Amino acid sequence: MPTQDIAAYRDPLDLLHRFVPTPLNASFQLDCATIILQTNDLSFFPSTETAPEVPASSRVQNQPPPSCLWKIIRDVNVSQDLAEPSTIISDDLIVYSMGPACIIAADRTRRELLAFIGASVDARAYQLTILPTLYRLTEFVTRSAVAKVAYADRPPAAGDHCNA
Amino acid sequence: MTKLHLINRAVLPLRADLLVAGAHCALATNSQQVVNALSNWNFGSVPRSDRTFDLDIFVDAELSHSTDFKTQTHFRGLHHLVFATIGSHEVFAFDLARRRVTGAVSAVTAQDADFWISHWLPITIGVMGTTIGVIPLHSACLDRDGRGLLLAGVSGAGKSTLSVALARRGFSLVSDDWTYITREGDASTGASAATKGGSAGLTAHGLSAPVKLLPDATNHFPELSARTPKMWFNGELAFELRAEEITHTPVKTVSQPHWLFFLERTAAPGCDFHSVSAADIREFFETGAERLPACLPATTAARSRTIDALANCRAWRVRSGETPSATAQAVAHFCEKN
Repeated sequence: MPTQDIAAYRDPLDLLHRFVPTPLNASFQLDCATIILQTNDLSFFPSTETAPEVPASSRVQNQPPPSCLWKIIRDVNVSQDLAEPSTIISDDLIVYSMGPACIIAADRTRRELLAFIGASVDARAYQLTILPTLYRLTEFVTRSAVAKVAYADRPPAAGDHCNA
Repeated sequence: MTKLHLINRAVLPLRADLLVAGAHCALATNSQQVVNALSNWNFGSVPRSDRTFDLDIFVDAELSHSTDFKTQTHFRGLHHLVFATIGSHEVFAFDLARRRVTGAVSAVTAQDADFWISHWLPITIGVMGTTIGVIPLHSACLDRDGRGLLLAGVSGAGKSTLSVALARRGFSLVSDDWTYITREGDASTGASAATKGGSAGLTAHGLSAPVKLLPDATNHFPELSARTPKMWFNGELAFELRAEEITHTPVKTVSQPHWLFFLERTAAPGCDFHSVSAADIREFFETGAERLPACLPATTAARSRTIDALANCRAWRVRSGETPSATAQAVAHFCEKN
């Protein structure tokens, strides 16, 4: 298990775990953005199998893609399993939650994805469930206002419930 | 099934302006029950100011409800954002940069006045307050004739039990755990309250939150033995009571800081008072304060300015090996002379 090497985090002045060290850094390319990854868990590094191919034709010619920070914390203090997703969209902010085991915020103004992933989320669940969400949210934060509407108006998946 | 909530003011037609601990909370919601639950804090129409934050609450009747929000609420934060999940589906996002709180809750939560007034509003002010010049201070506060007594100390020092004992000796309880300090001139203006001398310009606010007493409080307040302590957000086991239930006096919501005491328990009998320097006051509150992210430098600076102003208060270290009742008697007597 990749999380076994990560010590539980205790800081009485940081009850929200804002300052969990993220010593592992990487940069990689998606079609819509250059991702700058900061994390405390190697298992969040993309592999060639999971990172999507970059279709050069999809980029605007002569324009480098924007950068986007992914700060992903392995939250070893959280042992719950993934719950059903719940998403709130408020202007330039999306918060995607699957209970305490997965909380992702996407801030378009700051081009940031900030995430806490619980200890019980294994590599398979990360790749099948969370990584696609990170890709979608990256599109939200890096594309124009049209993308925001598109995200909100996208056809919900079968069974999805939306108030909009 | 994914729950997708597009939350903006167009889908939140109901409005209320709440004045809470010196903060202006501009509430927007789609639920009259939420407005009703928070009606005690409703002050009609309040203009926006540097002390305003938005509170956008969307109530989804199809959301499932967590049966015990105190043990199933989970907080995390990164950069300018703080998240709270309640159970599996109810979610809040506190955006400290945009001064906005957004949440989706169930219909059951929406109508739970105790949830909003005793718990969620204090939490919200605790998280958002620093960004709008309402500084949470880990101290109790009592009032006598408009003069405030702030009671600080490390966790477990006995602040709450001494607060209750003082409230039974003629003081009015403002808060037993967290007090919210505002400063005239406010953080956003950069005005220095220190130039005013003393604690001039500071106001201490309480939120009428429940009093929290640790299980050993039964030694001092025998009537508690008929109650069962409950688990709190921080995992601590404690009795939860409305302040009036245990103090038998009306609570106040505001006072002007006049005395500042740092409570220390000792094994030795007696109760003595030693003055505390401004530097020690500053160090106590700065080193004990929640760490704030680097992306909010103005917030951190505003908190420091308020602590600087507080450091001008006359302050004493109280070392007591006595019961809360005897310590309260000594403190009350000391206050009469100072």
